[in-house]
Amino acid sequence: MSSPSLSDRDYELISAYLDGEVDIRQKKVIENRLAEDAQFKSAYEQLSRTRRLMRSQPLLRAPRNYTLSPKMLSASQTSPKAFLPFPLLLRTVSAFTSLVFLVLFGLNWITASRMMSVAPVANSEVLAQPAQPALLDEQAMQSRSAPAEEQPMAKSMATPDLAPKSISPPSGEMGGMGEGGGAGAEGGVEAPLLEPDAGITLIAPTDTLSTTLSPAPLESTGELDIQSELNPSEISPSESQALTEVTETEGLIGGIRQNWLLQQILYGVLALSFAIIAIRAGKRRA
Amino acid sequence: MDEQGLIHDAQKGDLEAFNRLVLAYQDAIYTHAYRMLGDESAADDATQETFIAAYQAMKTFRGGSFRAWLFRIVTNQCYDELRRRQRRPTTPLEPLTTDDEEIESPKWLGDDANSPEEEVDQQALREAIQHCLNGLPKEFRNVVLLIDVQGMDYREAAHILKVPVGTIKSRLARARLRIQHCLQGFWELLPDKFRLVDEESQ
Repeated sequence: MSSPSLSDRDYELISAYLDGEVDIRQKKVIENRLAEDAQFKSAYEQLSRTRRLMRSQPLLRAPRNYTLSPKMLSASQTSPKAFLPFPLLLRTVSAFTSLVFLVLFGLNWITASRMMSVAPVANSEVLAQPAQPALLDEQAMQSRSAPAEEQPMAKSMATPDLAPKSISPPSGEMGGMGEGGGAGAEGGVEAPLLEPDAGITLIAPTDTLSTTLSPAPLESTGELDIQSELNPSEISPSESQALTEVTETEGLIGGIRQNWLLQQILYGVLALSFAIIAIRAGKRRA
Repeated sequence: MDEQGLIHDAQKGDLEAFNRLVLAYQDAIYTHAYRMLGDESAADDATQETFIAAYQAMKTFRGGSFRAWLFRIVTNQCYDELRRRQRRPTTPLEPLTTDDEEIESPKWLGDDANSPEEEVDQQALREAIQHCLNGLPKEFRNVVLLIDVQGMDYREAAHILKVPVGTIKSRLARARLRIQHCLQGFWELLPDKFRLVDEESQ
């Protein structure tokens, strides 16, 4: 009887048989096959030869004695047992990345918090410009006779805190009107002289402006103060439209805030993950 | 040598007793490290590290086969070294000819005219076997070295490698088969007793 080829299982049996690691039943099966199967017998002989060859290899003689000395032991305790560059690198990179994420997290939080606190007011003011006064400072508010009911106006202001800003509504542009807006006629606060290109320019739609602006009396300083009068019948539709826009804007801001919160959580999780990797790499190295 | 007594003393911090154990096992440990790593320098380091680690961990030795415990340590040392090599592969340096071309001169093809003929054959055979061992996966290599070179039984090897006896059986059979195929080109290096068996079987 001859099998076409031997399987791994056959070689495993032969190998175990050579080492005496088979039970009685397996031993009987193997011996029967050895008697009947020439290929099996040939495989047995070749494997037997390889085994004997391997077992004939003498133990090597150690090139030196490996006995330990107290000095050797103390040196091995002070120095790391093995050079592990990858954990060290991983630890350093992870710690650095964790730190970067934390810094970014903090900066982003501060910036976004500021934006969130300012954005709703600014946006609503911009959107409500046809019906609401556009970004007036406190002094200017005090100078007006009816601050809550003022009409849109274009006004150049010389107050330092608002100087760099410029807000343009989408409906039109009327920049650099050349009218100096003196602040605080009634509030008693005197603003510095307006220079044409130095102050903030608040721009309102031309048509709204023409209907709502009234000539302002000249102050003793020669500056112009703009006073506006509110006519409720003219602004009511605009106000309702503005309110709708403000509501939409608030919804939009709510969405942005939600995204921002998710982003913050993601930053936090990443920072935490890298910190854990850094700690684990450190422990492994120790 | 009263091994148990030496182990007991070494566990109490007696370095002299531990060093006597070192002398008893250093050849076997070095041989295993050399066969696993195929490099004298790396084997030297692994052997030294094994005995240092063993001394430092003596208090954790809970009895049983001290030899198996040592072989587990040297196996781990060798695996660590092999992993390091995988991360930082190196190219062996070969001597150059006058034309700056590498001479293919692995040790097992080397000729030492000053040595006796038999010693040369033995050296060549040893290097041929090492060449074949290096081509095995480290798990297979470890099994064949523990059982065929160190003469351990399946259970002791399974204990050292923390695998079932069945795994030892299959790994050993595959390792032997691969070595057999690898050695096909080196039959002329074999001593007569091995060559004659081959001729008879064919």
